[in-house]
Amino acid sequence: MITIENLAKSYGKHQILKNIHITLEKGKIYGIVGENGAGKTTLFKCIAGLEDFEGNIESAFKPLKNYIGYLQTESYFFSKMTGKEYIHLLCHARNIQTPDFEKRNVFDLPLNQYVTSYSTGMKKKLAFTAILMQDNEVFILDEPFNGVDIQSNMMIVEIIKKLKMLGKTVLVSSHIFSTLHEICDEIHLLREGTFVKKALPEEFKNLENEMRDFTVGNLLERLDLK
Amino acid sequence: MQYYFSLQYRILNRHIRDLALHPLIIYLLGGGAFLVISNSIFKQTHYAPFVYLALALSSTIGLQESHRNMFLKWCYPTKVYQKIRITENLIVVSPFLMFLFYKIEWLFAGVLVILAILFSFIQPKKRENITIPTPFYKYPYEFMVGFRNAFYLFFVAYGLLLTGILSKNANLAVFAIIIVFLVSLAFYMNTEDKFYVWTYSISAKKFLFKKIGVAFFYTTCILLPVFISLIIFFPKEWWMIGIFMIWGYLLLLAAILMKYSVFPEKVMLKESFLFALNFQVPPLLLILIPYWYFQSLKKLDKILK
Repeated sequence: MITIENLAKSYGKHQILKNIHITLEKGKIYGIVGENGAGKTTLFKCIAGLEDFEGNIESAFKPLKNYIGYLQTESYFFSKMTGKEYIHLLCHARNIQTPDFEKRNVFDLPLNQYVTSYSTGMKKKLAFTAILMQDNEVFILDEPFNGVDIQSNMMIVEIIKKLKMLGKTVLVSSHIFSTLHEICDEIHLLREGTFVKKALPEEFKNLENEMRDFTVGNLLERLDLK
Repeated sequence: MQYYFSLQYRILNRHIRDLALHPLIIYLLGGGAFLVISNSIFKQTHYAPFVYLALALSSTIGLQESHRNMFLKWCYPTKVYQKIRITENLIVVSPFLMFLFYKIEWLFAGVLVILAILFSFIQPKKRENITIPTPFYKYPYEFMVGFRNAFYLFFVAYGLLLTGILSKNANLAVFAIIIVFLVSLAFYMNTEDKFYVWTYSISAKKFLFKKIGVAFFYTTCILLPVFISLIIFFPKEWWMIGIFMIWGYLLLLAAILMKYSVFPEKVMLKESFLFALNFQVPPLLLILIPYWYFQSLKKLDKILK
C-alpha cells in the first residue's frame, strides 16, 4: 500500500500541486483525470521520486522508486540505440536478467531497429514493454494510450487488467474516459493541482458528465461556428 | 526570409545568454579564437587551404539535418526554402571566406562559395533502418551508442598507430592513445535524461563505480592493441606511453565525475573551463577528481535514494 499525505509541489511561486491525499492499494487501478496543466504529470513524477516535493509518501516498498515502472508521456530515447538495447538497459538498471525478447515482444516491435526510427505509438509501446519486463510492483502510466493504434490500445487495456490480477498497483492518466471507465477501480479528478472529486465505478458516468459541463460550458457558443 | 534570419539570431543570443554571458563577449572571443586557429593552420602546413576548405564545408553539415529541413520545406515555398538554405550556408562559411581573401587565396575562396551553394542542395538520406552492430552491447549505454556515432575515429587511431610504427615515429603512434581517450570521454559528455539514472536500483556510489568501471573496461578493450603494439615497437618510450595512459584514464574519470557533479543539469561553462584547464595543468586533476566525486555523490543520492 502507498499512502500519500498532504503532497505539495511548487516551482518558485507557482504552486502546481497542493493538499494531495490518496491511498493506493495492491491489486487496484487508479485513474487520474484532469485538464492539461492540472498537475497529473507532476504528481506522477513526485510519486516516482523524479521531483522533490513537500508532504509524505509512505510505502512498504523501500525505496519505493525501485519498485515503480514509470511510463512517461513522452519517453526520451538515445539516438542510435535499438529497441532491444533500450529494454536491455532498463532491465540491466534493475539487475534483471535480460528477458527473451522475441517471446515477450507482444506488440511486434522491430526491436533490432533504432528507436529514433519508430513512430510515436511504437515508442510508447516499447517504453511500456520495457517497464513490464522490469517486473515492477507499481505502475505509473502517464497517457499510455496516446498515439497507439486501436489494436494496441485493446492490448494495453488487457495488460493493465492482468497487472491488477497479479496484485500490482496501477496509476493511470488518460483523456479517453471510456477506457478509464473500463479498467479503473477509482477515478480521481485533479483540478488546479488538487483532487476535487473521487469517483467509484457507479459514479463514473456522473463524473464524465460533470467534467463535460465544467469544461465545455458555453464555450461552443463563444466559438460562433457557422 | 528576413524574419527567419532575425529569429535565428535571437535564438542564438538566447542560447548564449543561457550560459550567463553577454552575446557580444562570445562573438568577440569566438572571433579571436577563430583568427588564432586559422593563423596556426596556415603556419603549420602547406596544405592549409585544403584543410581550411574541408573545415569550412564540414561546418555546414549540421544545417543539412533532415528534421530541420523538413520543417523549413513545410513552412516556406520551395524557392524561398532554397534561398534560405543557400544564404545559411554562405553565412556559415563567410568567416572562412574572409580569411581566404585575407590570405589572397582567390581560387579556394571561389571554390568554397560554389561548394557551399552546392551543399545547400544536398539532402543526406536517413539511414535509420541500417543498424550498425556494436561490440559494446553488454553494458549500456555510452559505448553502445557512442561507438555507432564515432567508430571510424577508432580506425583513425589504429591507422595513426600503424603509420607511426611504419615510419618509426613514436610520437605519432602515441597520439593514437590520445585519440582513443578523447573519443571515449566524449561519449560521457552528453547529459542523459534524469529517467536513465532514476531507473537504476543501486546506491549513488555503486552507480558511479559501475559507470567508471564500464568506461575503463571498454576503453581498455579498445586501447589494448595500441598499448601492446607500442610496447613492442617502442620499448624505450615506455615512460611516455605510461604517462599518457595514466593521464588518459584520469581524464576519463574526471569527465564522468564532472558530468554527474552537476546532474541532472548540463555541464556549464565553469566545469568545461576547469576540465579544459587539465590539458594545460594536468596535476589539477588530483584536486578536481575528489571534488567532483563528492559532488556527484550528493547529486546522484538525491535521485537514487
